[in-house]
Amino acid sequence: MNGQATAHTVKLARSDDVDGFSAALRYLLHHDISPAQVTWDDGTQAQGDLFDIEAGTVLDRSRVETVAAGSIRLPRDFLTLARTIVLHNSVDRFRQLHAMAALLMRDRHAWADRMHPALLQLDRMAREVGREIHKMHAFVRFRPVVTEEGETHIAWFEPEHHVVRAAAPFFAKRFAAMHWTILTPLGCAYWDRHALVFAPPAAREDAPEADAGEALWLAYYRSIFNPARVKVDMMRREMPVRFWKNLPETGAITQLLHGAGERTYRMQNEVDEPVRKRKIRENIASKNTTER
Amino acid sequence: MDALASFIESWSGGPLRLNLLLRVCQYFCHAVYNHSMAKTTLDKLIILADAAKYDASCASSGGARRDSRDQKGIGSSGGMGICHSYAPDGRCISLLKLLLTNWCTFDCLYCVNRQSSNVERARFTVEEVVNLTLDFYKRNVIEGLFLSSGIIQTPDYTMEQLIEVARQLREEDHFRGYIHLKTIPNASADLIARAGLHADRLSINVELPTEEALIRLAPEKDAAAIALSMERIRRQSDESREDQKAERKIKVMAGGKPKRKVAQFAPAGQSTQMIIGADDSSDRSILTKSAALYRNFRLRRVYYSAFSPIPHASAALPSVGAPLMREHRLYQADWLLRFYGFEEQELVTDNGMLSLAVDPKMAWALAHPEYFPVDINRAAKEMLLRVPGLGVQSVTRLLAARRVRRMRKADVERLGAPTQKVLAFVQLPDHRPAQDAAQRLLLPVPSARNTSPQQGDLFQASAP
Repeated sequence: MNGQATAHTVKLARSDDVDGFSAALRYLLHHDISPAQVTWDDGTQAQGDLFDIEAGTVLDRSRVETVAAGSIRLPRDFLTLARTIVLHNSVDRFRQLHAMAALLMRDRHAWADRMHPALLQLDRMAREVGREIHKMHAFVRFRPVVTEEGETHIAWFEPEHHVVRAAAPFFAKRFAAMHWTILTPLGCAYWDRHALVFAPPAAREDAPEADAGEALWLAYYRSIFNPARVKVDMMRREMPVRFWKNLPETGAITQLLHGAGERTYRMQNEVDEPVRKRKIRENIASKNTTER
Repeated sequence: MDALASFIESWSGGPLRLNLLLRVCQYFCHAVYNHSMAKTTLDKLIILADAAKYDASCASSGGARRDSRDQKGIGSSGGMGICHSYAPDGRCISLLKLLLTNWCTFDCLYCVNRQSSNVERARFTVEEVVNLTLDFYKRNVIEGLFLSSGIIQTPDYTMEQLIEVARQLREEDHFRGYIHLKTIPNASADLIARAGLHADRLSINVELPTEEALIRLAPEKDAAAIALSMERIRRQSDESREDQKAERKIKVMAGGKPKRKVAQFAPAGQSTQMIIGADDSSDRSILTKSAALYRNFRLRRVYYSAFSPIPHASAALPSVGAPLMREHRLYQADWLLRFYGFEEQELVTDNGMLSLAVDPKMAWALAHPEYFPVDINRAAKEMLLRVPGLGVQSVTRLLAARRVRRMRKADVERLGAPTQKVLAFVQLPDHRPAQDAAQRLLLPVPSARNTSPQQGDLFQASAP
């Protein structure tokens, strides 16, 4: 391959096209095409951006699959890591993975150097994706909706990374006997008790408003809060503010914090009536004075 | 009315003892006073969630691996725990944490629900708890249920009520989420065995680190009975594990399925909680107690709960809570014992108290300058784990990387660990800490937050 001048554009089916990426990576490594020669198109870039650059050879799925699976050998752990990192929202992720794979092709030992800056960076991205999947499992909020076909549960969620497909099977196992829908601006997931179906992005307006039953959850959230131990930083670290607008209970936070000081003061200074009366009596007796 | 009804229900059929007649009157008066109108589920939820919040445990990990793919019920568990929300107290909300009732015949001084407290009382029906659990679960706001209760009538009667909630959830609704049941002290062995069949985790709170404190502050609780219950849970757990092993062996030998599947007893094990600062126990006596609990009863977790002022407090208690930092230091020390190879007697204390200013690992390092600086490229794993600022993950990474090449200062800076802290205790080919590097870490640093106010200061302002 006489590389430098030749530009390539890899066409991926979606932002989270893990298999498409793997096939393309195999093709690029097999033909020794360097990361600098490749533009990645996952369909999210504005069209103008793509016209600006020389598209060169377009590598679509059928083209890259001419290189057979198994023809390129990479550490299994790297491939696992790559499948996660593809879901990251960084526009540079495909290039970074390609660069790491090219490095590993030249030097297998590079993978053993867990402190290699590029590897640390990839590990960090993989952790961010893993955390986003975990947070999606945690913060999706289903609201029951009754239709002619029966009850269904609908949630609106805004992930930062492309994790909808990766996070959905968890819900299919947990709520297998329910009908549910998770709507997000990065794609939607439906479960009809038979199969997971993925669909294009939705808008917030497509999701239902709060139902009457949600009041119980809000009451629970307010009641379980202990005003004597306010730790707002801890809450914000584990429940980042960007999720708050879709978590109904966070609407209570300001009010809870404003009342916390007074509630704590009352707890510290009030004792139960009988005990207080007894104390006053004891005080009066010991001081031998008449208070009123 | 509701409480009156539940009171009558709980007493009919039970042995009526004269010395409890007083309680009858008290309950009756409360009922008339508090319950001129029937309480709704919402009213009860507000009272009985509030009453449950002093239990720190929220773990939902380690349960049996289950899901609902057979479409018979709902729920799954067995992965890592999930925190579905956080309250402004920084605590994870993973489970629907409730008391079945806050009526209680015990009079533990530190407890808001003690018999002599004027707190408003309520009692859920079994169905109410089951329905709340399922409703919350379908909204995806919880991993499951953590159910405890005030002690009504007898320990066994109370325990049976808790078990009935778990049984209905498991057997009638095929609920596969997480269930944590509080074990009532003095409940019979048979009931503990039944509880463990439905629950992922059982717990019984030791409450206070010493027997003397327990006698003084929780007169009806009995350290020996608590230990006995823990021992029963442990024994049931061991037996269940043996049964499972035997079952696996049979499977291998016969190549077929055994007749019945042995359910694992409380797969997420048992935990307990100690209240910190309600009595004058030292950190050292608390940690000695924890070490014994881990050793003797194979506890999964000991939770430390800084005594927090409660509404309707008893005058015999301190009205100011223990510092949350003390609680935090105890958790850090507990962690060092369990995951960092520290022995309990190695922890550095001053008059039995951990330092509030520095974390226990740092305190140990400062007290043992003879071990430092540690050579990152040569030191054994055990020693790397003792470097302040290096966690298990960082150590694993360094160990793997140094097989390939020598680590340098830039590598430590890239770890994502607190760099200045680590560098004060380690040496590298291009770094040796200054003599006073460790001491200098203790000097106050001008906080970045003071100079550049951030957007969230609205919240900071109301924090104490």
